[in-house]
Amino acid sequence: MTADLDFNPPRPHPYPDEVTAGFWEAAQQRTLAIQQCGDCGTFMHYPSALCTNCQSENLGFSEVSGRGTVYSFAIVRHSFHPAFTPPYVIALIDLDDAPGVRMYTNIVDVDPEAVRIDMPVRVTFEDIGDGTLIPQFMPA
Amino acid sequence: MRKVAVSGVGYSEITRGGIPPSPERLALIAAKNAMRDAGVTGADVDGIFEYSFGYDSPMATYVQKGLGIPNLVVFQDIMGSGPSGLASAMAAYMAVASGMCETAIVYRCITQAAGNTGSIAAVPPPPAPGPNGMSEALVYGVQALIPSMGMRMQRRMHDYGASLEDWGHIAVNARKWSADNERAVLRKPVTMEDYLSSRMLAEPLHLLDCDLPVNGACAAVITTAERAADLPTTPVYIDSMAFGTGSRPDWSVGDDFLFGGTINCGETLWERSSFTPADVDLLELYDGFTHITISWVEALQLCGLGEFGDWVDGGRTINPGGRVPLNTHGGQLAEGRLHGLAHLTEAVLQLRGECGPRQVPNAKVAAIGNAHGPQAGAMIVSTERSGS
Repeated sequence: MTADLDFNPPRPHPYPDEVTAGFWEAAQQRTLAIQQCGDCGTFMHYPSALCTNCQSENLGFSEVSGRGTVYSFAIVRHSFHPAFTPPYVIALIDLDDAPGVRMYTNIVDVDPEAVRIDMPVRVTFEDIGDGTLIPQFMPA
Repeated sequence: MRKVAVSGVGYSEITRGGIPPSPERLALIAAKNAMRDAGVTGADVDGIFEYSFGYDSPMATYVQKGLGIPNLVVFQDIMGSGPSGLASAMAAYMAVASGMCETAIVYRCITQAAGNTGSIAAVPPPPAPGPNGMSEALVYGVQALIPSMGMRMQRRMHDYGASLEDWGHIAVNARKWSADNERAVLRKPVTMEDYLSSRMLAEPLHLLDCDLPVNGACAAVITTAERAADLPTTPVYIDSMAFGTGSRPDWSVGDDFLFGGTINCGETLWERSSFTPADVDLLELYDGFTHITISWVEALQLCGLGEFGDWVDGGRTINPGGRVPLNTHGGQLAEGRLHGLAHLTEAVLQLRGECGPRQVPNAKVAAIGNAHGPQAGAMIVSTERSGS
């Protein structure tokens, strides 16, 4: 991938590290996997280096259904980055089967004006240009 | 713990545009003016605390050199994860109260270029490393805080039945006060209609919900109450201060999305204070975004959670002549973004009775709140010497 860094920066990509890689590797397999403590079962997102409940280091990633509801959202009307064309919807999603987990996303395949708080959504995966897949959500 | 006072405040000029400013010059001018105001020289100062993003403000030892301070027994360059510019004064308070130093200079210098980064200017973003909300958000086109503030407003309307006019009262109020502040960059009045018709950035967040990046610096001199008594200015005592982060702190997925750490911060502050919310004569509350200001009004218990819309009474509560004047310099929305510390320096000038046409009569107690999310900080200052 080439880009003119001064005037045409590439779309920001995930930057997996040893803590977060499990989340992004699962996305590449079209799976939504959330970090879960192997000892107490607590789900965490963003991934943490210790269980935020029991401080265990026994952490893994568990596949979840990818269903959730909109906690909040905003319709972006201003261009904050050349790789994103307004209007687009950013949102925080509460996952149905990963208690306590709220995650950033875009809501895609929807009229932005139709998005509502508490709206049911499900995960989908978007190729952001070079084969990299990221989790996105769409109306359920 | 020793009693601590603010004995001097100072500013550089506050501007937009022009040739690139020198942060070093702006910080030195503000600090020099604060020292003159307090009647101290370099030989009297033994501590410096400053808050910066890194490239927008000179480090403490550079400023030490320019001010002719022979040695620093304590200093700190505080990074951007603290409660904005007030963090410098909070650190100085702790150092002076504990006896680690006698007289400290604090400053916040910020430039328009730094202030624009990640705001409404389209700039190349940093890469997205590490497990935290700010970096993952970039992948989804969420640059800095504007879209996430829009989401807070959306959720507040859902949870509390808030209206857009609630935030509009903050924006309109800012210009009512800045009309009488010669430092302010924006002094032209705006109406509620202007607010509601301003450009939509991240619906429901409008352009007039956002503060104004500027080039400028402000500074304060913080010392013991004993030393302050021998200086020419009226001492403004630091009654209490507190930080607050909230549980599982994070800008986007912390446990309290609407209020961040402000509620915890307010609770701790009032536990430590010799005053109560009913004693507050004026509020100087962070207004990088109008949502933050409303959070602070409620977190500092001026009204109940979700009750701001009734409390503000169409703006009458906070406007000039109101019961609890708010952001009497016009805040960052109108004076310009000096990033939090100017909320303290304005409070000091008000309590000293030196604010001319915008002076709040008989003001004795001011509450200051800074930042939001996982990095809240607050302070009560007063000309009344109470407590220890």
